[in-house]
Amino acid sequence: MRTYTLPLIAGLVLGGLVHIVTTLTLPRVASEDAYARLARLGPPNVVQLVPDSTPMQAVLPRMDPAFLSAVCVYDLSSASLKVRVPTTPDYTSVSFYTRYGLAYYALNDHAAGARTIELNLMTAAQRAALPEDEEITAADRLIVESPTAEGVVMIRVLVRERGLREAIRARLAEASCSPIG
Amino acid sequence: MRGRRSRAGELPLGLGDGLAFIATADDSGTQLDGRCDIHIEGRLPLARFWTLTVYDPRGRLIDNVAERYGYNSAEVVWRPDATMEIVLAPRARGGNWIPTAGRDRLVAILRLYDAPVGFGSRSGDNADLPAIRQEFCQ
Repeated sequence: MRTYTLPLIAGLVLGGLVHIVTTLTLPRVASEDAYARLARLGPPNVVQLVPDSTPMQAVLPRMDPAFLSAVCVYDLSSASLKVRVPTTPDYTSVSFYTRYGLAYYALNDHAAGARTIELNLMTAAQRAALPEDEEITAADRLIVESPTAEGVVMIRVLVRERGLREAIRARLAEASCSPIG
Repeated sequence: MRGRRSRAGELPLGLGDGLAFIATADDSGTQLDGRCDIHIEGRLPLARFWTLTVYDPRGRLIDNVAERYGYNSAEVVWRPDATMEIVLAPRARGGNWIPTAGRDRLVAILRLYDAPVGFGSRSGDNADLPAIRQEFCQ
């Protein structure tokens, strides 16, 4: 009996460890996460319109069909980005996600209070490297600090009436994200 | 939870954007079944805009000829007392109806956009969420 006890316990402990490690790493190794799906829409650091979700196909699950969306899949490793989003007469929001789909910042047209939401997206290192006098003029400029070099900017615009859909889509197409400098 | 979301490929709403309430069961704890009449009824929390959308368990919209996947605060028909009722059912009916195509499992998501701050941090009083009950299962 004793000869089996030790291997059994060792096996259980090993199994437990493997389980914990797999569970914790799964979000990072899953190939079909939101970032991977959105990155297929086009090159990074460019705003891409997200095709409307239908029962047959959707870029991401659980999208809200009342909204039109566009994304900028970003990579800040070579330069910071300027993000410009024209607001619409209705609800417009800009949400920021890390490479692993964690929402770290969001604002909407009311919070921004301007006809165009304009902000600079950069890493902590890029922000620290800003010249001092730039920091002062930055007071009227919105700076968003990304915790990861890669991530996703998701732009959502509400379509209150179906008839307005194409007009709103045209406005959304004016959104841009482009490297600074 | 985060692991499950990432694997499913969803980008959940950020708090500065809106709040999402996800229902997979009715008030008695029974799974939402698209072969039943599912009544979602009552008041809704204060928000600039809300949407209620129905999905299958994999997060896809439910196919139907009307292309009706949900309701929002601008198009729903309210009652005079500021309450509303949305019915999820397999067969067409009057009022605020969302077709379920008779799917056995459904997920209903209520999203509040530009909801007051503090609501999400649970510091406020209990949210006015609508009741969910199912009847006439086929």
